[in-house]
Amino acid sequence: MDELQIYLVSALVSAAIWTLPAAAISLIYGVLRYPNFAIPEFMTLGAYLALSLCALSIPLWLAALFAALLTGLIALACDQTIFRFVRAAGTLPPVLLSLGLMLFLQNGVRFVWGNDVLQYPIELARPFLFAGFIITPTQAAMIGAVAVILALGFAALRWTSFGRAVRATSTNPELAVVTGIRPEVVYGGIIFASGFLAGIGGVALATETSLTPMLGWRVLIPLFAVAILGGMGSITGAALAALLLAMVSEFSLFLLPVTYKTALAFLVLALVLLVRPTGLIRTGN
Amino acid sequence: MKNVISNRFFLAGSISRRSLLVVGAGAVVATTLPSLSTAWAQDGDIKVGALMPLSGAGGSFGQEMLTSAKVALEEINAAGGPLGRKIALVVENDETSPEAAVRGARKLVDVDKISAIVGTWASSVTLAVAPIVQEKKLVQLSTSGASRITEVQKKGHLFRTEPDDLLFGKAYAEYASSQGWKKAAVLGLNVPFTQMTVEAFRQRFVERGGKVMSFTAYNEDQTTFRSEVTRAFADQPDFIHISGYEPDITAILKAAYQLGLSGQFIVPGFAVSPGLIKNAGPAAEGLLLVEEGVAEGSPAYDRLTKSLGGDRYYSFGAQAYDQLVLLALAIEAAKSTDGTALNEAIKKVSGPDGTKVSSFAEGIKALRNDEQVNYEGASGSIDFDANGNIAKANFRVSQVKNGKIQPIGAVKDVAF
Repeated sequence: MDELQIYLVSALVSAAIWTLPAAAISLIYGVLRYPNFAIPEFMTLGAYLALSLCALSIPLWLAALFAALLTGLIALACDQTIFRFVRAAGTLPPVLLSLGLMLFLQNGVRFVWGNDVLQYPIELARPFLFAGFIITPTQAAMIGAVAVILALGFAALRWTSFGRAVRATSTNPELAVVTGIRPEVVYGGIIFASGFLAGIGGVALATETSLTPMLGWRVLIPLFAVAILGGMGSITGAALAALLLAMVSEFSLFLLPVTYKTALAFLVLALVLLVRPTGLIRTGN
Repeated sequence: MKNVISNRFFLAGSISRRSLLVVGAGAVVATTLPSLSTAWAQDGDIKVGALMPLSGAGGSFGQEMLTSAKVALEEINAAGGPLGRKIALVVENDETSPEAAVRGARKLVDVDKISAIVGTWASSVTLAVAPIVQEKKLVQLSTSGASRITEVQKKGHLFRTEPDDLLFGKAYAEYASSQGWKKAAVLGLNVPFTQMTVEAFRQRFVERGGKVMSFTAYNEDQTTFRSEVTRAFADQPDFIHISGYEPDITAILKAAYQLGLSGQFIVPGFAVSPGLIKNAGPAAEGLLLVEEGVAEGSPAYDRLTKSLGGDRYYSFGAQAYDQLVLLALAIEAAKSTDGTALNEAIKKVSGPDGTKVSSFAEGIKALRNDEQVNYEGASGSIDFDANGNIAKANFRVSQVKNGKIQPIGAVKDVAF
């Protein structure tokens, strides 16, 4: 058993879990200019929705997809009914709204699904050995799925007209409007995508751990660390930052007691921001 | 241990739908029951407060404790009661919450004028209620495990029938060395409670010739436990002790299984629910759990299980039963309901010196013959030390086999 390879796979698993929700936070910040604290709770919601779909004997991967789409729609509904009316009011109102939504969603999940620790109905699998790496089929599938979604997201931002509209709005909202982009469409699309990404991330986290109403809440801080480190507004940045932070926190076990694991992540965050105040990937102007 | 369960419950700052219902129902019970039971009380009755978690995280245990205490109450009053007076139980729901417990205790002390409180279960509750009891120089009997309580007990008037958490740590060590295991690895949740029990475990295990190969701490918010598990398995230990709670222990068992590792895990019994066994599935197979014991086969425990139906393992129920019997015997021995006198008398009737008795009826007979008695209860032999902790604790060891928890052994007479 080679410890190094085990740590490497662990880091990959953590990074895969963090990347998509962190990208969601990052995207919302890039386009709508506020940190959305409700994203971790959309993870919880997505994870539980997938559980309910699994109960209808839908396979987990399909349930995850549907649940993420549903989460996206719910996020969109929240945005259109609450957040839409405070768009013009600056950063603070949507931040406060997102905090309220966070509490509401967390307790809503408790109300519907209860406080018990739950689990997806998938067989716990023994791992297989792949080029010296010990990994279970579920973990491999999860890492693969996240990579595919990441690539699709990247391509969509780069080569579709919606992606261009998003980038334009994020760089210069006024100019984007002048060129005929309808900002509400961009906002709605981004919120839907963020809900979707959070939903997938939630299912990924729940397959690796278990379902509790605190599921998303517990990764709030690492997610924001990843989003900030990656450079707010960048999907690639979020992926790189997730990988970097996951590596640092896993390999820190070689050197430091675990008490400092989280602190170390912040040390890295501070150091990177000292050198690159905009985060790993610079976006915007 | 339980203190942290309840702490977690409140830190979470939220209540599930189910527990909301229970709290609601509990509130109704709490408002009706005391008035009812006070109505039963007649002049000359000795009033005892039953401050129990009838709802909240400890809800199911509180119900068990209350029914068990009522079994003891019936036996005591049927035998004529201490000093020829009947005991009346005044029930308050502590909701597994220190705030509610303090309100309940205030009412018991100021309005009902009780002589003693039995039943505080969560450690946070015991710690919150103790100052009220100590200020009025009454007596409190508790089923909490947290080691911090020992400090408070040094002021007297507080006794615990639950083994201290440190004894739990030592019980893991004694069981392991009784199996001939020499090499241990420990995985511990990064909170003060585990550091104390793990230290107690290490100390006893080393005394018995064992060696702790590694101690790996973890945080509960980790997304994966692969690295920690790998580290624990690295030295090929004979067994791995996990000191934590249900969610993280589930995740660790799964991580080991998914890494293709197999090993012998020993965990606290309170962390293992049917949910854990279902969630961890094949990864929980063979898991060993150590929980507070009862005196199985003792006359007191037999009587209790008979009255309660015998479908479960009544560890906290047995303690609640014993608390009331001890208190009644102490009142008879002290010839008084005064808290200061009871504080001494409870220690005396608990043993270890004196004629062994296993019920209130036997005890009162011996006491009236001017003998000193040693109560051997349903939960164990219960001999209190100078601090009011049980000096020698018994534990039950069970194993998960084919998805079911089966008792496989015991660790007896674990001392500090």
